[in-house]
This record gives sequence, structure tokens and C-alpha cells, in this order.
Amino acid sequence: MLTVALEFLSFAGSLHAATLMVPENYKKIQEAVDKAAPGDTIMVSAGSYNENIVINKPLSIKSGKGSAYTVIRPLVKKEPVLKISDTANVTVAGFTMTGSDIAGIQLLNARNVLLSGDMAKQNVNGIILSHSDNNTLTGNEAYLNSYYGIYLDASSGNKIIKNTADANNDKGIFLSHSDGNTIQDNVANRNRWNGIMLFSSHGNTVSDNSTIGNAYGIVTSNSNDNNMISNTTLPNIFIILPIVLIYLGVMSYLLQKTILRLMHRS
Amino acid sequence: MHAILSFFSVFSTLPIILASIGLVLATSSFISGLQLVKGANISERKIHRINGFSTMILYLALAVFYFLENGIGVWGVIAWLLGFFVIFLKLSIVHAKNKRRAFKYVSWLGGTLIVIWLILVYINIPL
Repeated sequence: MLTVALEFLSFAGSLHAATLMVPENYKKIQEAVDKAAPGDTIMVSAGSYNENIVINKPLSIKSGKGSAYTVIRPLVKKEPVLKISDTANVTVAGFTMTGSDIAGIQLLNARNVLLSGDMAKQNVNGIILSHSDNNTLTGNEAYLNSYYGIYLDASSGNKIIKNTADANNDKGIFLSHSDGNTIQDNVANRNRWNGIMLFSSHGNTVSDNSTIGNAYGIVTSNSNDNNMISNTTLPNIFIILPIVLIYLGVMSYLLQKTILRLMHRS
Repeated sequence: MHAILSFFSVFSTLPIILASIGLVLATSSFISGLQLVKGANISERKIHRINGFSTMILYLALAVFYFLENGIGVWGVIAWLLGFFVIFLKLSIVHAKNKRRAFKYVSWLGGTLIVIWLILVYINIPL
């Protein structure tokens, strides 16, 4: 029933969609969100914004100049910078979210959301999808976060395509209890632990991803029927271990030589 | 600290420990072998022989572990026999009567043995 109502609101809204400008019409993005009708578009000019944004209606928020010029920092650090909850048909494009103790972007019970060209850096988590289905993440960057770059929890049918999840302190892309997702053409390099990890997640397609320089490239645990196709993986250990061992070999040779020389002298 | 701990966590199985020791000893043996080609030296010869013999024992142990874990398959047998062939070819060249000609090829075989040990380390890294 809720789904039907949301679809109707989205359709009705799109018939009379308006464009709201920030900061020209509204100083804060949240003010524009609160005033917007379903289906409206909010255009945000370049600049730095300090606020926590909550979206619970179908609308589009786009930046004028892209993520490099439009940065949102949280007013309350213990909340996500941007939270999309209990709604569908939302588009967020071209923002940088940074500095949250929860996440740059959090989707909670959200459907058909499009995140495109966003950057989530230096948060505890980059982008979290929780109980959210059939969303699309494309062209986003999630890096230098304390835990995960992109984290799907109990979320199904999502498309994670052409994103970058580099240099996070734990995992690049992490699926937990999430089934039937498509993880394609992503780059998850130099994460401290795993590039991509599937935990208790089934029937996902993981293809054409690059995971280089992580402790481990792609890891599956308690997960079945996942399709792994044409991924490039090269864990750190494959480079470091042989170098260390050969170095130890050279040291061992020099040590043995010294010991034998001393023995022959005496 | 986390990086160091995750590095040491790789030594969680006996085959990777044996393969790592094998690569260390093979490297020592290879360097001493190169020094031997230049000119005979008692200490170099001892290092070369002790390390070389130890790597051969480790190679045998790893082969046993491999077949116990994976069973006896055609490709496995071929791969391990190829490794043995390189070891015995090297030994036979070292012990050949016409040593001057033979020594031309020994360093190449020594290099091949290092590559074999690198492969043994790679295939035994637990993931």
C-alpha cells in the first residue's frame, strides 16, 4: 500500500515538477528538501554546507559544479551527512560528503535511489545501504573512510557500477546478508583489509572489478551461488612476502658466511 | 601494527611456513652457488650444499603435503616431477666431469630453482 502511495506521489509530483535553487531560494539544502514537493529538483550551487540532510520523499538533488566544488559536512557528527529513508525515486548527484561518525550517505528502507558522481570521504563509513533494494550507485567515490567504502546490509537487487572504493581502513565494498546485487566495473584498491567482501550474501554478480593492493582481494564467507567473472585481484601479500623472503635469504647467506669464517679462523 | 599482524597471519599453515623457509634457503644457496662459479671456497661450498640439501628435503615434504591434500592427479604429478627434474639436472651438471662447459648453465638452473620456490610460496599462500 505504501509502495503504491509513493509511486503515485512520485507520478503526481513529476507532472508539476519545480526546480528549487540553493542558496538562491533557500539558504540550507534541508530547507529546500522540506519545502519541495515530490518530483521536484533541487539545484545546489558550489560551496561548503554544514548540515545533516534527511530525505523522505521522491526528489532530485543535483550540484551545479560537481562533487569537487560542492561539499557537505555534518552539523551533528553522530548522524549521516545525507540520509535517505523510507522513500523511493530519489536522485543525488555531484556532492562530497565528509566528516560523519556514521556515514557520508545512508540509505534506509529506500528503493530506486540513484547516487551518481558523489564522493564520500573521511567518514566512518562511505555509503551505507541498509534494508534498501533496487538502488543504483554509479560513478561514486568512497575513500579514506574508517571502516567501509560501500556497505550493503540486508539489501537486494542493487546495482553498484563503476564506483571507486579505495584506501578505506577496513573493506572497500562489503555486502552483508545482501542477495542478488550486481557489483560491476568497480575499483577497490589499497583498502587495509578486503577489496570486496561478501558475507552471508547469495546470488550476487561480481564482475570486471579491480582489487589491487588490498590485504585480500575478493573474499566470500558463508555465501553461495555468487557469480565471479573477470575480476582483477592482486593482494598485497603476493608482492610483499616474496620480497621479504628473498631479503631474508640474502641476510641468511651473509650470516652463514660470517659464522663459517669465524669458525675457520678459530 | 595492524599491517604487521596481517603480514604474519599469512603463516597460518605448515605448507606456507615450509615454502617460505625453502625460498629463504634457496636464495642463500643460489648466492653461494654464484660465488662458487667465480672460484672455489670452502665456506661458500658448505653454505651451498647445506642450504641446497635442506631445500631438497623441504621440496619433498611439500610434495607429500600437496598429494595428501589434493590427491594424486595427472597435472600435479607432472608439475612436481618437472621440479624434481630441474633439481636433478642441476645436480648432474654440477657433478659432471667436464665442469667448465657445465658451469655455463648452472646459474640458469639456479635461477629456475628460485622461480620454482616463488611458485611454491604463491600456491601455498592461504586466502
